[in-house]
Amino acid sequence: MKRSTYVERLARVPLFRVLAKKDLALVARHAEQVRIPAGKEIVREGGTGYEFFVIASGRATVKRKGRKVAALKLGDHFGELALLGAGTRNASVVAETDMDLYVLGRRDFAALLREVPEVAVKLLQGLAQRLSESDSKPRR
Amino acid sequence: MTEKSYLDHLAAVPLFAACAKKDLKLIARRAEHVTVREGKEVVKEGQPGHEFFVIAGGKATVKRKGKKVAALGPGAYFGELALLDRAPRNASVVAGTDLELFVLGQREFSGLLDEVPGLAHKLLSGMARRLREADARGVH
Repeated sequence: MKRSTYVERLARVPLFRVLAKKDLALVARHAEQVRIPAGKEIVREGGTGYEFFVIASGRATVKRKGRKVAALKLGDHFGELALLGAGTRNASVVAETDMDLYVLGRRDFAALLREVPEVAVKLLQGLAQRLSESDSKPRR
Repeated sequence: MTEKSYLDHLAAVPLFAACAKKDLKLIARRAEHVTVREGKEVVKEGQPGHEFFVIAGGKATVKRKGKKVAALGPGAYFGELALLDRAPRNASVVAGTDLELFVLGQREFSGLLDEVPGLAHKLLSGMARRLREADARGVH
């Protein structure tokens, strides 16, 4: 993909929308773009996690213990928990359609958080929302 | 508190442990140091939240719907969720002893996240751990 198109597509991802052009270029340098066929398990619950993913196109399903717990689409991201914590995936993610993903390895992810605080803050807001939702659900 | 002992106190907080001296000074300038009496409810579940708290000394109890869900001691922090997702406080925090707190308002908190990148990363790691624990409790 042409570099300018790549940066323009990155700019449409909500996680990166607040970024200045130079920061987008930085994300583009760190991220790899990969294509995933429908049906493929991208991350596996209980496995070790080495990457962070942002969806450039397509849809995916998040499953925990075989049960669907969330649906992901264009602009959504996943995989950050394992990179921020113990390293174990706490859910599986399966491609529902063919997908285009931006992929950041552990080191690039850490570098991005360090160099572009806006991304860290956006991720914090996302985690805070998930944590609030999870806390407000009744315990079993 | 003298400026030096104030900075030493801040440096002893794990959340700020990775901060450079200039960052600690910035935090010291932004944070207010307050003392709270034993038994006082510092934040109240369901209420809007405008501050972030770090415990400099003393103990506190986290309660949700009147039930104790966590205990906090020196170096622990609370209040970030409501500042990040702008939702009401998802738990109450009650002073178990007299408490010494560093308090950051919404604006100071957001400013520090932008200016001290290591801070967002630390908060992200803490939040990731809580979320994994919540997921592991079988909430979903």
